[in-house]
Amino acid sequence: MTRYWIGRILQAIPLWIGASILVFVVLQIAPGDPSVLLADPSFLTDEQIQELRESIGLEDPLPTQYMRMMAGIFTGELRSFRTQETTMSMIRGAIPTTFSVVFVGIVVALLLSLPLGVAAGRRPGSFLDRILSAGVVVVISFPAFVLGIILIRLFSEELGILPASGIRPIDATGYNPVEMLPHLVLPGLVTAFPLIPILARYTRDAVQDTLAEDFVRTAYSKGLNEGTVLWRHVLRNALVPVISVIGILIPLLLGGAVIVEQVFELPGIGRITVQAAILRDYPVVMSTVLFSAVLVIAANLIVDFLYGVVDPRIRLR
Amino acid sequence: MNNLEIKIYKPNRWLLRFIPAALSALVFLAACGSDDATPPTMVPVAAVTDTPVPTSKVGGGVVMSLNHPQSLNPILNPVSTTIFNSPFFFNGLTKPGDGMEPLPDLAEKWEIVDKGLSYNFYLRKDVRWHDGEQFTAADVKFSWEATCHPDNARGAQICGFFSAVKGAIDFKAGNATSISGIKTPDPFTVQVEMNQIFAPFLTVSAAQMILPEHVWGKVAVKEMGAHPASRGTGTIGTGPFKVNSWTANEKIELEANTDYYEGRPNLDSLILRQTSPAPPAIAARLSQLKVGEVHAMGLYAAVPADHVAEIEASSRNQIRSLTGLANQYVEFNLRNPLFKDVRMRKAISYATNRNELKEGLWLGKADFVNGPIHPIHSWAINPNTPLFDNDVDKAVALFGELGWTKGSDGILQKDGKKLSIPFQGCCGLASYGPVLQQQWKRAGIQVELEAMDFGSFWGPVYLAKKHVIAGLNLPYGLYTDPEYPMGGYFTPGRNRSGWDSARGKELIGLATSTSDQKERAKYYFELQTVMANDVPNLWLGIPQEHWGFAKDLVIPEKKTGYLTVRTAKDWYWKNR
Repeated sequence: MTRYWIGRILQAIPLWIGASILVFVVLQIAPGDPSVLLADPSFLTDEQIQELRESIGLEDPLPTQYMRMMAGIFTGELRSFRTQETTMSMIRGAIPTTFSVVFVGIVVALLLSLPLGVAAGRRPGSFLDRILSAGVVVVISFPAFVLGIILIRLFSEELGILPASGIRPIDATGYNPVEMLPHLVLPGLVTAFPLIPILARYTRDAVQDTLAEDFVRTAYSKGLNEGTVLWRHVLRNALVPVISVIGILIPLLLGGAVIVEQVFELPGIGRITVQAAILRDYPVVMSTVLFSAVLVIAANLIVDFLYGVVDPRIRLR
Repeated sequence: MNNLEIKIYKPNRWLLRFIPAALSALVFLAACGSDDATPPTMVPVAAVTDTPVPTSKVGGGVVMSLNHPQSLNPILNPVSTTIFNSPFFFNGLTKPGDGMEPLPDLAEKWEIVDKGLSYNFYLRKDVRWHDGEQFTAADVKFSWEATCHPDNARGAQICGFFSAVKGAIDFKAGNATSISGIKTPDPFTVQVEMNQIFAPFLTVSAAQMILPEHVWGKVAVKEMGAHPASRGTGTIGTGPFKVNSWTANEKIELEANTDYYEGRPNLDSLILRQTSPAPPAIAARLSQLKVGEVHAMGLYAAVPADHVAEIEASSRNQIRSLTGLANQYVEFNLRNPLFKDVRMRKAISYATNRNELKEGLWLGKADFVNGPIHPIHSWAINPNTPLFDNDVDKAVALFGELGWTKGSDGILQKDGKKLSIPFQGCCGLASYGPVLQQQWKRAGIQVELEAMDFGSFWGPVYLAKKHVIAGLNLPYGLYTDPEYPMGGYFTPGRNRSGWDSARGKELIGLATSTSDQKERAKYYFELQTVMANDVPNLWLGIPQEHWGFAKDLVIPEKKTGYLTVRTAKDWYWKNR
């Protein structure tokens, strides 16, 4: 089993390096020169522009630039072109925000989608089931930023019960979970929104399939009531494909964080990435995208591990 | 002392100060004058006073939406962001008055010698850095030299403001160990010797922020950007607020400097909340203002014109519309054969209805100046330049003279080729571009709009001179002298439009090389006429900057957003 996990981790390394090369190439192809956004070249001589480019390493050959960035990522010394802060410290500062929002989003999505999926799976073709099918299309085509703005208008402007922005009170220092909670509700809902119908739909299908299994019939014949059968036997088995979907949805969640963090002005990884992309801050974009790649790879490994937890038969195999 | 001319300048309440200043000038002249010395010219002190601030209350904090700089070390930034961020916690020797004239800041007075060939600054003795250290002339010399240090590639733009100082170019090139033209004969005097007159020296150069030598003198210039003090930890200034912390992409936290030499700020704290130009962030920002999470927004984060009514209607807030930051303009690339003939540029100008833009797009809230000078520099604006505006018939006639005739689809054609012009730009083009597209279509021009993000447009298209027609806006409202954009953006030989006018170039040079404002105005007037006749650019209008802020927050009234930001020390809560 240990060899299996080591093998899985080793497989991820070339994948990650491939991602780094891809990101680097995309940044080079993208139009725009980072140096002209650091100081207005209208007021600089050609020599000064050259000096500025040299000072951030843009005059080096591309392989040298790539290797320097990768070395900087590993040593933690890679610095933003713009602020000259280490990208590691930028990411470290942004992690609590992004993780909190994504975590709340997943929890909210699971809390709402599992009961919906079970209910729809129990009665295929019912009104709820049909609503769920239609809901997937509607929700997926509904832009997250529009929902965010609607929720802010409703809960912050009209009702005045939730903050409109930020991850904590603006004058607070540090991350205090109690202070953060009200700030997480709306971003969490927006993050959860596209996940709910997808997870509910997967749960519905898995529940429907599981209900047709022999062991369910056996459970009923033993005299167990429907609730016990559903929650103890059916859902546990149905969760295996649902967990795999969560793993697949991690990139979607991180992509969604980019929008959510803009709408709610959250200082998270998504916002850093967008700002850096606008300002052609290559080291920051490289670092945040590769960090996201690590998260996606790690999430998939965790999901594989959770299969075994949920279904002991997989662990034994 | 040949041809000695000294202007002594000492500001503030003029009735109280004018007489002592005049007497001190006379005493000084009597002491150093000689038979062949020209009589001194006094700058009238009364002309430059701060707007009086009403009785204010101390306490409370304000959260303001504002773009953050790339560094809290002002000499490592482009001017366009540091100019409004840094004055919260730093000072220059001078600061801008209500008409951008220089007022004393860290320098309590100065002398202009030989019409601006040298300056003597006399520094305040009651200024202390935020850590309690005494501010001295050594800080000034250090800051100006660090700005122009050969290792400071990012400071090259600000260093340009000192390039007329004797020895600055040698120092920048690494051929000297210091700038020979900057001398500090005693701890509170700075003498500056110039190679040539640089008219904006007092308004621009001397207004640059001063750094503490005792903090930065130990840091290699190359390492300054990565130093914690550039990131909000141990950032020491002299300004009205002290930096507590900077959380990237979130906020800069400031607290009142209770020992500020002009008296403590009314507010206990000020939080500068990072903003983003992305549309979802604009909506979020407006909501924050409405619910009271943000108390003030202006400059780049100002309320968009189409949201002014909504903010005015909210019970918590008020709107103050000020002269805007930027003149929106169109620039032809004159290297393109299509625009070689001035009649083509005039025709497009005639096809442009500026009033329609003002009334329709900017809801009547815009100013118009037919040239590259911001209205805050009203002394330099020529109100009588020719404007080729809103006359489609004249436009069509001019096109006809050039051989362009309308085809069956209403689009102009010549030699079987349609008049189809790419119109590229970023910021702002997405809003006014479609309006111009419609206006120009009436005259038969087919426009292909290419609205891009700033990074995609600025370097690869505009600076590379690959544009055909570019939509631009420069934040002139931030600049304390009309010369500032001239050098980089309009001077023939340096500009991107390819506008090549010997007289234009000469006039820009002349306007910089005299410190006599009347003379400068004369040159700028002629320059605007030359530009208006050559039409290298179409000036569209300056949309007003709508400041949204809490109803009970008192902010002194100033003409522009930049000047308003600089009053932060005087802001106060009326009812808190």
